[in-house]
Amino acid sequence: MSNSKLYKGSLTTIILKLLNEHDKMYGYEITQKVKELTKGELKITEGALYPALHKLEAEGLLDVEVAKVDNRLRKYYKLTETGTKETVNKLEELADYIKTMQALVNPKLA
Amino acid sequence: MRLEKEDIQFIDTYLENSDVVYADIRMEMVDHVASDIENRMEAGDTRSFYEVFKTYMVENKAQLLKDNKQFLKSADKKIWKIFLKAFLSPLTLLLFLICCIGFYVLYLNSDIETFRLIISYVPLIWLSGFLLTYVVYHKVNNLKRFSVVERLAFPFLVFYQLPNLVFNFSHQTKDFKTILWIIGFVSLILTIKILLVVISINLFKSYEKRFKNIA
Repeated sequence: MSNSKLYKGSLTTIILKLLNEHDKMYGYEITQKVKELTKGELKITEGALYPALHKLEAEGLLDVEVAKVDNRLRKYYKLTETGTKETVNKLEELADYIKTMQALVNPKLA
Repeated sequence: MRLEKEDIQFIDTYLENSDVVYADIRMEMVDHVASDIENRMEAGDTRSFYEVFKTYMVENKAQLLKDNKQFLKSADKKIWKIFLKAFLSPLTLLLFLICCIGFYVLYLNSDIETFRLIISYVPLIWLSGFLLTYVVYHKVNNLKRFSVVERLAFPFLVFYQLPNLVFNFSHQTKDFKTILWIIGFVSLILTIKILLVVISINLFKSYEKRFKNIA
């Protein structure tokens, strides 16, 4: 991805959106899903992902479940009730942002 | 392609030897590294686990250790959030008032030297409280080292040292107003220390529940 800084502010929204569509996900799964959905255009590094996940967990937006999978422990993240509500807000914010940016860069389409 | 138990143990030991000492942080890293290695092997890398692991570490070790620091920062933030939430509850105010009344009654019913001696031991007693909690949960229950719990030691030490500073400035005073200030201050420190012990126990319990119920 050529300019990952543009995506940085949207990382939380991306995580919440993915978790909203899946019951629960683990860190590596999130990185792979984003890579797959964006056809490799966006690669989330663990250095960005895990702090974001822990922040969301500390804020009470995510709940954690630990399970034994393939000889190791795996930490799954899922949305809490507050997290589900926040996802709606974040997606609305992102839609507004995209609309505003569109108006700026391509007024004809806006 | 799934890694063997010995491979997972190898990754775990490698990370532990690379200063990723807390079990909760390491657990997530081990899974991430193992998942990536499995992914590479599934994608056609026919080399042995050890060779793929070596390549992975050459590419990612610096980032992983950087992540460890980020994890610790998150743990510290979590501690302060939990602490603030507990500190601002009405129960804390009640506990503080009980401590104030207790120390005031002690002041009224003992000579100044005995009173001073007792309150000077308050920080030490509650530091022992944390250590006892830690030893019971960590050693007796044989739990691993968990980040948020161990990072609590820092606020404990801060609140252990603070009263000493005040005592150094005021240890000769017999002035009633100053005594009241000391009572208020020691009560606040004691309240905070009780909160920290309660928070430690709750954190230990939540870790115990999270990790011990896994089949």
